[in-house]
Amino acid sequence: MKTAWKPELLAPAGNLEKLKVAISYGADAVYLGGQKFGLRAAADNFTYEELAEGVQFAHERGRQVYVVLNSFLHDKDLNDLPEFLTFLDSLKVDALIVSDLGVVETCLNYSQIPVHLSTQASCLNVEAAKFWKKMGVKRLIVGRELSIKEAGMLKRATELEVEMFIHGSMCMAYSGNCVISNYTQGRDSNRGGCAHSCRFEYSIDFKNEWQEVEKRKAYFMSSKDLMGVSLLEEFFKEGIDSVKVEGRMKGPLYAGTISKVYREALDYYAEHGNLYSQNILEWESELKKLAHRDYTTASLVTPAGTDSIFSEREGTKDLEAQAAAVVTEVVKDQHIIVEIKKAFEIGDVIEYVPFSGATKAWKVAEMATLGNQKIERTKPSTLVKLPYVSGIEALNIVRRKS
Amino acid sequence: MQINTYVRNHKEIELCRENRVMEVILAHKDFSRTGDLSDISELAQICQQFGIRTVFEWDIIMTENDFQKCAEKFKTFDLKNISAIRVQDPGALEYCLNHTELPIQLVLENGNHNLVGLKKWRGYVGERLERMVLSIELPEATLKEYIEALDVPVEILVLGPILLFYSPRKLLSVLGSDKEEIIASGSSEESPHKGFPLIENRHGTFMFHIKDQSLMEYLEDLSQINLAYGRVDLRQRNFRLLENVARLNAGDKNEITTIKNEYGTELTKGYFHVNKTDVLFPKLKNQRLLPRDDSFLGEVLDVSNKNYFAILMKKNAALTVGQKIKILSPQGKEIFLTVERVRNSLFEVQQSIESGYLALLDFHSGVLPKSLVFKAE
Ligand code: SF4
Repeated sequence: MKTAWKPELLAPAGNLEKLKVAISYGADAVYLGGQKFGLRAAADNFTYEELAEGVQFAHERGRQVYVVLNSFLHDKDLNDLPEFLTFLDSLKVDALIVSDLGVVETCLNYSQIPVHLSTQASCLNVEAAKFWKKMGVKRLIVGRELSIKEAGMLKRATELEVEMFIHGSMCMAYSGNCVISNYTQGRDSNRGGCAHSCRFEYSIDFKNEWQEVEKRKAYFMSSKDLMGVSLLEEFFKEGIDSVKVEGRMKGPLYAGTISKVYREALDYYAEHGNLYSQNILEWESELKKLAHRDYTTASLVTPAGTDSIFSEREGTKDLEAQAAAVVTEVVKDQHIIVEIKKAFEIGDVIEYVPFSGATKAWKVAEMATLGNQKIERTKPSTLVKLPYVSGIEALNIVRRKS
Repeated sequence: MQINTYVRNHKEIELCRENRVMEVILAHKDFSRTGDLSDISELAQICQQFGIRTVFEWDIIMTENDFQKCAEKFKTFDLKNISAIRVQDPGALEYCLNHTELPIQLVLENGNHNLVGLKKWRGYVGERLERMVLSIELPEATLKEYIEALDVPVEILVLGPILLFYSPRKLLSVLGSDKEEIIASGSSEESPHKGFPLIENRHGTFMFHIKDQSLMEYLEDLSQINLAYGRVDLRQRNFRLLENVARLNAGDKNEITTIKNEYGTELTKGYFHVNKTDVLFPKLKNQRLLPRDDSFLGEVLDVSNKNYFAILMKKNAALTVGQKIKILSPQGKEIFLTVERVRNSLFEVQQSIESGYLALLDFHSGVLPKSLVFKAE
């Protein structure tokens, strides 16, 4: 059955380039951080200038921009917030993502922008949702421990908008309930300093029934990554307003691929009212080409079990496709210019990912510097000229097929 | 300042009474994170007979399904000997406000490091709010300021384990134990700290710091800033130390040494003097991306030695012949120059290049990829 309504697709935008890529590939909305107040201290984040440009880019295309202010701010951080809010108001940002009650209050007092409750607040039940509604939030970004059905209950009980993570890395702790790095690294994880201590291998000592110590080595606190594309039907049925992808720290290939895959999947379901397993396999196979830990549906259906633990060292997987470049400029019938992210050479097979539709692959036969000097191999962080490929557009991502 | 503590049996209540610890926390296994009591009514009754206040702890975080189970169970409790209820999940707070008449102790130990938020919580719960339990990451000066500003008694943990991590997932049983509660310790390759205590129980997995929080040296200071309650959690230690803590709180400083010697694990004052958990953030940031202003023109994406460098022009900017520009290299070096010639990617000479396109300028020594370009005047 065809549906007119579909959940919003909300993609991460770690910087201006990724914002443009995500929107060009079909994200309905993006979320991003300013230089302060968010939880990604090490991310690129946006300057005032870039924020203005990003909002303009999104609004011109009818898309939304949400600004993340989800640190548990201390008094001194809060003092600087009103000025930033005035700026965001002037840009007509579409929402603020907030987790701390003091920040919610400050946002409501100093701006007209709707407040979305961050997943950091771990809002997981109807009564908590009612509380946050009274505090003035317009949307709940529910904790990743909640099933889609439970999220639907929160929506119906409060009539608030509900947003759920559908894809990406996951905190093993209840969000906002891990302060390991505060005590081991002197960095406040709730103000952006998480050192990812859960991703390391631990040596565990147990006492057995004879009170003898038994030792085990394990990556016992690391979570697999979330992938919910196969459960889209549930998101539709429960009326989840927005499906969100984690990953502001990841590159343009990620921003583009997840936006494209989930865009296609959402549109397909809205059009046909069903998802065939063949489609799901294709989308999943595209998502598996991205750098990821093993995938899980975590708690989207039933509470995450022991099979949701990622018991391997990080980054041990070979990838089928790798980010090679982003198209910077296209001069029709003459050349394309790409910014190299990862080197490739003559003879390699590369493909570009159009904003919609199938990828197009070709074998690299010639390439040159901007100054038309022929080269055999590209170098990261340089611009390279390739022969014109029909259909390719600026901001398309180019992958190397391994 | 008064001391309160967790009790699990008759003997511990007796010790509280002997040492004039007149408030105890009852941690039920279904409602409290690391609680192990199956029945609270008997202990609550004994406390009542001794004139000891009883606080029912409901501090687990709950998904909707779990919440419904808890609420059902909660209805079956006889709360007549319970003096107050302590909650953390706003859902539990709402429920207790609407379905009980008990005074509320609100746990705000997680975050809640600003007065605007604390006052909002305070105002919302209103008359029913008997106490705010605040974070041990608040330094003394901030704590003092908050106590003065909040017209409600405040409590912090003064002695006991520091909870670092709370996950609903069962992370230890997968390693081969089938007990209902698993106790272990973990050491990571990343941290020089060894032996983080771990507990897995029906609510998930908990990791604690290797050192316990101890403000034993500062009880007098805490009294002076009007901290109402100092919480002592000896559930993983020798409960008899409560006697020493009570004597210390009554002024006997000699007890500090005894407590330290007999405590059984290392102690820390944590952030009591200063909290600088954000000082490293500027180092984590990419300096190149610190705020720019309206004069920003674009970024150098490519440099060809002795030939050209290419700038990708940003939105709303244009580069014109004769314009003075400043180039900031990734190392922070500033280069000033005047644009004498500008070409497009076809190497055609142009008068100006618009935003979104590449502008090729003649090579200049010191200009590197990722340099930022600004108007110089
Ligand atoms: S260390 Fe792991 S569990 Fe803790 S905040 Fe960071 S990602 Fe989350």
